Amino acid sequence: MKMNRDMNNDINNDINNDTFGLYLHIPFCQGKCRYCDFYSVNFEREIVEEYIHFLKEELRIYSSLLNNEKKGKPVMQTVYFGGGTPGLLTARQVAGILELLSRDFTLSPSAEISLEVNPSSLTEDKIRDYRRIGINRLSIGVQSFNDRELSFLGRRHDSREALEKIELASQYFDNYSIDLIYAIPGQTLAEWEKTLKQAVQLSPYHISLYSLQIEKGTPLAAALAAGEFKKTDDALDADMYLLARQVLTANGYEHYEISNFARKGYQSRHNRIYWEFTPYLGVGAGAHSFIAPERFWNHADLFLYMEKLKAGKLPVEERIESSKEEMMAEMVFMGLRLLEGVSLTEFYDLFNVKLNEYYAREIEKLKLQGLISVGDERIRLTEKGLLLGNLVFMEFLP
Amino acid sequence: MKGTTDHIRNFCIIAHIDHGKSTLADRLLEYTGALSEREMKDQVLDKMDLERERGITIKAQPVRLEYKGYELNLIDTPGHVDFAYEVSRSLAACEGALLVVDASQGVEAQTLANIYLALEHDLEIIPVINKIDLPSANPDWVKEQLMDIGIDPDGAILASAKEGIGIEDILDAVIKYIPAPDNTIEKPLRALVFDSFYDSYQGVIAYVRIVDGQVKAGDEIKLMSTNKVYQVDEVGVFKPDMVKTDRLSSGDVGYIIAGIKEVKNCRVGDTITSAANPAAEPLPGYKQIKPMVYSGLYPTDNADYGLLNDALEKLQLNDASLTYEPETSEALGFGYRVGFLGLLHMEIIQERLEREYGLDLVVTAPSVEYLVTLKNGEVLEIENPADFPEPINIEKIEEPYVKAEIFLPDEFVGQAMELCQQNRGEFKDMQYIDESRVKLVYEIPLSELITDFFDNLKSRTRGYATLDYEFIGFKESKLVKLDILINGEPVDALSIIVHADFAEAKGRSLVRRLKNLIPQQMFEVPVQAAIGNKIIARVNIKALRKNVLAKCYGGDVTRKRKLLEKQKEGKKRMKMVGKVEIPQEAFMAVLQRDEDE
Repeated sequence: MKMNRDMNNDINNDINNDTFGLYLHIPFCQGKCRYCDFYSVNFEREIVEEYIHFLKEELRIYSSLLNNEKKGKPVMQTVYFGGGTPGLLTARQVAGILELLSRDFTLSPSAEISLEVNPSSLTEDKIRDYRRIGINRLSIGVQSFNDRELSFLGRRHDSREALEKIELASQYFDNYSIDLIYAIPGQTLAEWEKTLKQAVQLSPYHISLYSLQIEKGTPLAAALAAGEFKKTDDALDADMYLLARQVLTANGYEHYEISNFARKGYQSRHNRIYWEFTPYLGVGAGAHSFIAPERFWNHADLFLYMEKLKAGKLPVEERIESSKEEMMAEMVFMGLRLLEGVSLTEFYDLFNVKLNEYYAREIEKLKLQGLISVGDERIRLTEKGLLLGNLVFMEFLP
Repeated sequence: MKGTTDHIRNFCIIAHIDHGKSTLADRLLEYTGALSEREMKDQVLDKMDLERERGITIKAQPVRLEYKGYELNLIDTPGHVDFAYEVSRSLAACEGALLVVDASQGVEAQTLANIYLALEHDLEIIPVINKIDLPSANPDWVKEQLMDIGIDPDGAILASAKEGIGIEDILDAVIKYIPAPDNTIEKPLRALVFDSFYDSYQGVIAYVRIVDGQVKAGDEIKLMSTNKVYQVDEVGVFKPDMVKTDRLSSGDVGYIIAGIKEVKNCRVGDTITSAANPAAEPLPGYKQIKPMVYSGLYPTDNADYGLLNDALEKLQLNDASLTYEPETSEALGFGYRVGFLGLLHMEIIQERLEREYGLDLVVTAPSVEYLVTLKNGEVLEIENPADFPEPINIEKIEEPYVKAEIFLPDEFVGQAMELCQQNRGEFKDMQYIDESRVKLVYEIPLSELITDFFDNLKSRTRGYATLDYEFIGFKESKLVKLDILINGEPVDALSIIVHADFAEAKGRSLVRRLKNLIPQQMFEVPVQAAIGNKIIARVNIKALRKNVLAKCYGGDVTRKRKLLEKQKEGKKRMKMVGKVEIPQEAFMAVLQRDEDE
């Protein structure tokens, strides 16, 4: 382990490797959605039990590795159960993990503790119990309020069930988020508007919007190759995005990240960690971690993951140490996803390099193209830049 | 053994592609102990990575095998029509040839072409029926075929180079049937250069067959085509690595190093003689080979122009058939107009430049040389469509024609003839070679042949047809220059010369292909084809509206970065023309096959 070690000498010690966001990956699903290319296995009670056992084991290892004699136990600012479908875990199972966290780590009293759920596996008992054991934020995978679209995506709920479960969740949670997918083949701008209006009417504190990506190896990719449907063209995709921006901001949501909208004070603190270049620890099969200057990730294969831990080893598949240039690029392209942009001061404090000087050529070009705007203190994407972010991000790669 | 040549045999292997020539060469080396099995990489003689990957031979590689007290010099020859001249020089260095025929494929077009070439050089031919281990092998049928084409099949050796069957028989036959070279050591030196190689330490290494006389280190030699004189530093033989010897004398195959700085001063086919006691006549057959195909090579990044210059200079050291001259394109900046022997040669050079010199290149569509007679009587040789004069000043245009010989099974004759006609071919002759195989002869403009003719021919004949062609001269044609405008600006590097009757169809298909090749830009881009001021086709590439990673991937920043790197890599390989980014492939659009056609 090379943790808590000083970064390259020419990079200041300001990346605080003492407090973390914690991501826990729960790779179980009741079935695979047609667009999903994340690793998951079929939900089976015994395997889940065994997996949680090893997940805790992994946490214990990190707790002792990250324990600092002076500062004590590692501090967790946010905890995020992602998947897969973490909502398949019983409240008892989640509670067991949280107990371990509060014992072997320091859970900040204001910690945001999120859990992803799907409408189809959500019950009122479960919602109530999750709240009771300390989950304080739910992220609900709604994806659409249109039944044709939901069945196209291979989701296991319909719009009626989604509405019902959101209603239930809102009785116990103020802070919940819903995910929506757009640019679904066949979806019209009017249908998307209907879904958006329905979402606004429910008034969640947070909404994430994802343009449907057809990833290699998924059933959707096969169907596309077989000519079953046509991809949504990028012009309609763009119009849908702009429509969402308009509808949501008109209804009191702040557009704070390319794909995310929130009411004041309810941005996802955990996801901000990714965008703000702060460290996070990922545990569970396939989980990713960033403890500067290293990024590392676990075996995605569940059984390989458990086998490693069984042998008393960390289940890390690969670690890469980023160069200074790579880290600078990562900070910029992740940070630009936030609408507030990247702070020139924070960048300088971290790297001893002036962002606007180091990337002067790139910045000039992107400004001319109308993709970014540069202020005294921050650079950020313009509206056009939000749509064409990749053209901006790639400019900063070494 | 000095003064006698009885123990020397010089031979080559001729074969249709894929009939197992390189594998056989490997086995011969292995069997005679020229290389231990451990040292063997597959196809040792194909030195360049490219050769090994493509399974073809580009340079002629010699090696000396020692067997039963004999010196057997094997000269491996290139096997592609682009390199026909090199092949003929290699054959001229030999007294005999192993004719390798695949036991299940039988005699093929190229086999025949090679046999004729070998007979032209009076070579003793030993037929080898290879791959007899295959279940589909039919040696008796192959023997009948050999008989039909006038080769005595009785001496044919049954072999499997892969399994090591028949190798000893082949070596014994080489000794028994191939004549020893004439012993003419007393005559003035005449050495045939059948290939040459540039080494950065020793300069040019000439691969030679000593025909008359002898040569040793310290001698003064003269290249007979240029009369340039050099002092010999070293002579030696190939085992297959170069091994220094005292001298080379008549009958020997080996190398000469004489401080020659450039391969173009020691061209394939030239004769080396003694400066002090020169031969009266050079060996016959020397030709200065002229390129057939020209295209523009431009660095994607203009800053790499110097690198490209150095790289071409170095490649030319090794490849005297490569010619280049600086040229400028309004669209592409500074580059070179490079002449090639053919399309394969062009591809090979492009790949070597990119691979060995790390260059990112834009290669423009290949063109031929046109003779343009102006109204004032002046005749221009034009290799670049962009240099075409205004139509109003042109009296006539002539283009190079080739005689194309197509060998194919008779069931595909109709298909092939249709293709030839579509490509402005003029039918000349059709002959049955045997009951089912046909030779078609057409005269076709070279420009048609260098686009997608061969690919089309292959696909129409399910791969059975083979093509051979030779330049026959220039003929007058009704040609026009087709210009392409991108975003309203003419892109000189995309101009092509086409026959007036086909111009509109060509223009339409070209803009359609370009639409598929040029990625969406941040604004709408019209692509037009024009003849003079007349627009004959137009398509629009819609503006790129959205391109951004949406998903979070659970903190998998590495995956995000890789996706961005891939996009960036794609962009790097594009050329900025005006405000539009154009990928390299677009400049070759004219060569691409259009699926809707």
